[in-house]
Order: sequence, then structure tokens, then C-alpha cells
Amino acid sequence: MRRTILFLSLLLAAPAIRTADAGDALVVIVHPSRKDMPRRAEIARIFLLQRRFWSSGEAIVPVNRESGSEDRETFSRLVIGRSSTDLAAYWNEQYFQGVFPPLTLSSDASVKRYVASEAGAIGYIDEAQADDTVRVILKLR
Amino acid sequence: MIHLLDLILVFSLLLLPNSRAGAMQGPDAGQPATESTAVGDKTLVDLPSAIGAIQYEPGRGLRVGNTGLTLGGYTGVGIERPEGGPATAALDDLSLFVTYRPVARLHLFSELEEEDLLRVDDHGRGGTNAQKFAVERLYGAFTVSDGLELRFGQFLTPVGRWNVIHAQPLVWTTSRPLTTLVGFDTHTTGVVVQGALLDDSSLAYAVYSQFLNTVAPPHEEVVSAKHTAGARAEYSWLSGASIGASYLAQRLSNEWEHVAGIDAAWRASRIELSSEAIVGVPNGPRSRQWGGYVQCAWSIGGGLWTVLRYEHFDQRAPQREINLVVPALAYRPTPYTIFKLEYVFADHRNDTSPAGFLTSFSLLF
Repeated sequence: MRRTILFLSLLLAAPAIRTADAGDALVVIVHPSRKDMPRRAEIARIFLLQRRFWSSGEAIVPVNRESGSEDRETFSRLVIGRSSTDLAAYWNEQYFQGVFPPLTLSSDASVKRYVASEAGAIGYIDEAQADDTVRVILKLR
Repeated sequence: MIHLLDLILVFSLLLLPNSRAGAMQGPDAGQPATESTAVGDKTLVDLPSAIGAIQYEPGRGLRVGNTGLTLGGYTGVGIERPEGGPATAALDDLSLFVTYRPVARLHLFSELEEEDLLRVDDHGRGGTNAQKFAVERLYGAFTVSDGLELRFGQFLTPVGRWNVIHAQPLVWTTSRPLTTLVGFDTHTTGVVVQGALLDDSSLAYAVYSQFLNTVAPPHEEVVSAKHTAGARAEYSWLSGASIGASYLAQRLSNEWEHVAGIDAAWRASRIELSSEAIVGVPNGPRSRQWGGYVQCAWSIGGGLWTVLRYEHFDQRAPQREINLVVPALAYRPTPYTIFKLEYVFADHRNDTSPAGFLTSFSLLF
């Protein structure tokens, strides 16, 4: 009986018990030297490759997480307002124009490393992963 | 007193899958398990080489290392049975895209097409005799800024939406609206200045002119203009909606004609609405022609979509105006492949888009 009550109590409490990074916000990051502060809509246009250059004239290099990742879907819905599935037709049309989707990397660490080393890059990672090697320009929940 | 079983229960529940607070679910949340998921970065082939990784991604082409060169394209097969005519099976166009981006501001692009690779009717007549090589597009572009790109060469005339995305894997039906094919020269060989304006790049524009002969035009080109000058503006929202307006003046034989058009589209998860209308007003004695269509595609799950299009086209006299209704089914097992099944109903005979049954399969590679 005691075990049953314990089991049921923990089962109800389980959704609130999270690992360290669950529940963290996503942050959009750029190289520390980058002074631009694009708004959310401009960031969306960047990742749709409709805006391709920083104010300095340098080419923007957007970096996505891999298709199907939770961060990729969260970013796509919160910033672009559509899921990556919904964007498939858009990227087909872009391919027809000789335009290819942004670069993808498969971990926060690799995104951070890339953005920290590439002056034109912009990406997104878990807030907990951000440090002074990159500059946070937008926080998403 | 804590027993071992209690500890096992506690640790088991701690290891249950948990979710980020307010987090989005996976890409197929709320959809059937068989719904296709987005691709765009699923590399099928990844071979190291001296020039960088040679990578192939279905629907996104073959990337040739770090050269900036990408090869891709599309192809398709189809069967059509016009009313009163024989059924024909065809291995349709094989289009090859060659994209070269050596640096961020320079873009060279060509779409080379081998048309009518194989065509056989239900009596066994036909073959490969009708094969023809065509140049759909061939241009170089230099981007000065987001608001200014200069493009020189042969490109699709930016009138409306269908003409600039007419490839079979990108559209919902095998048949093409007359509105997008008959009213203007679908290819321009000359120069275009284009770009995106406003702070959020939501307003796209293009201003263009044709002053060269079209190189190896495709067979479906109905109108061939000697000279053209035109412009287009399109405003788009991140939600997937867009509206556009187009104008062009084209010289056919020795007569100028003015063509104006408007278009709108909205694309959401399970529905897509699109519409275009054009009017062509000649300077000379020829009559005016105008037309428009409205199309709706909606998802019924499992990658299956139903499509319905209505079109009215008031052709140049003495040809009669025509109304066309096209109900269709489309199945997308992946985002870069599509099966289509449709029937074109027409109230008058028309050779460009005859009434009858069509089915096709096409893919981007």
C-alpha cells in the first residue's frame, strides 16, 4: 500500500522533475564582434535567406540545428512562425532558384564553436550553453 | 524504513522522458505517424575528397566539395488521356540544375532540360523522336546588397507566381493554368535588377528587360516576345501569405502589348490557397485577353492532399472564352516527391490545356 502511494505520488510528480537543460530558453547568438541587433522578424528573414548581409556588408551565415531536433523545431516555430515541415515547400522553391537551406550542425557545442569563430555567423543554442565566446542577441522561450 | 524496491521505483520515475516547459513537440505533433517530415539536411552520401566532402542530399542536389558547385534537378513521368484522344505515357522533362557560388555575392545558375525523353501512345506509336534540348535558364547574378542584385542572362519572366515555380515537383497539378502560360512570354533573356526592401526584407521587387533572343526555348513556350520590359513587386508575411503585382510590356511581331497581373497566396500547415489574374491589352487591332484562377489544396493526412482549381480564361478572338475546373489528388511521401491524379473539365476545346485525365510522378533530386 505504501509503495503504491509512493509510486502514484512520484508518477504525478514526474513531469515536474526535469534534467538540467530542460526548460532552458533558447538564445540566438552571434560573433562577439558583431554589433547588429536584428529583431525577431529580421532573424526569421535571415534564416529564410531573404536577408543575406549584415549592415557592415559582410555575408550572414545562418546555422541551424539538425532537422528533427527539438531546438530546431522550437526555433522554427518561435522565430519563423512555422514548423520545419511547413517550410519544406518553401525550401523546394528556393532549391529551384539555386538557393540552399542554411548550414546545419548537430549540437549546441558545435554551433557555439562555429559562431565564435565565424564573424558572419548567427545560430541558436540552449541558454545554459552560452558564454562570453559568443554574444546573445535574443532570448526565446 | 526505505526498501530497495522503493529506491528502484524512485529512480525509475526520475528517468521517465521529460519535456521542456512549454516546449514544442516534434515536427509531426498532432499529425499521423506517416506524415512526411522536413528534409533539407539529411545527407545520403558524404564522401571525403581532396576538394572537400562530396555530399548528396535527396531533393537538394550533389554538393561538389568546397568548390561552390552543386548539381541537381528534377524529372517526372506521366500519363494523359485527353477526351476523345489516345492515352499517352511519357517520360517527361529531365532538368539539370547547375549552381555555382564561388563567393557570397556571385551566383551562376543554369537549368538545362532534355524534353520529351520518351512518349508512347496506347497504340504503341511514338518513341524518342520528339526529344529536344532546351535551356530553361542560364544567368549570372551579382549581389550588391540585400536590396540590389543584378542578373544577366535567361530567366523565368517574373509575372505572377506559377511561372517562376512551375516545375512539376513544386506544383499541385500536372496541368498548368492557361493564365500562367498563354498571356506572356514565360522566358526573358536580358537583365533584371531585383532585391528585397524594407527593414525586414518583406518587400521584393524586380525590374527587367529583354533585348536578346531566347536561347533554345522550351517547347511549352506559347508566346515569344522580341522585346520586353517589366516589373514586379511582392509583399510577403512570415505567416506564409503574400501578395504581388506584375506589369510587362512585350513586343510581339511588330505590336506592343501591355500585360498586368495580380496574385496572392497563403500557405499554412494543412492548407494552401493561391490565385492569379492577368489581363493583356494590345496596342494594335488584336483583342484583349484576360484570365484568372483560384486554387485550394488541403491536407487530409498521411501526405495526401486534395486540390481544386477553377480557371476562367477569355482568350483572344476568335477563340472562345473557356472555363476549366480541375479536381485533383496529390500524394507527397517525401517533401521532394509527388504523385498526382487529376481530371481537367473544360466547357470548350482548348489545345494548350485539353480536357481529360492526367496522372504523374515527379521528384527533385
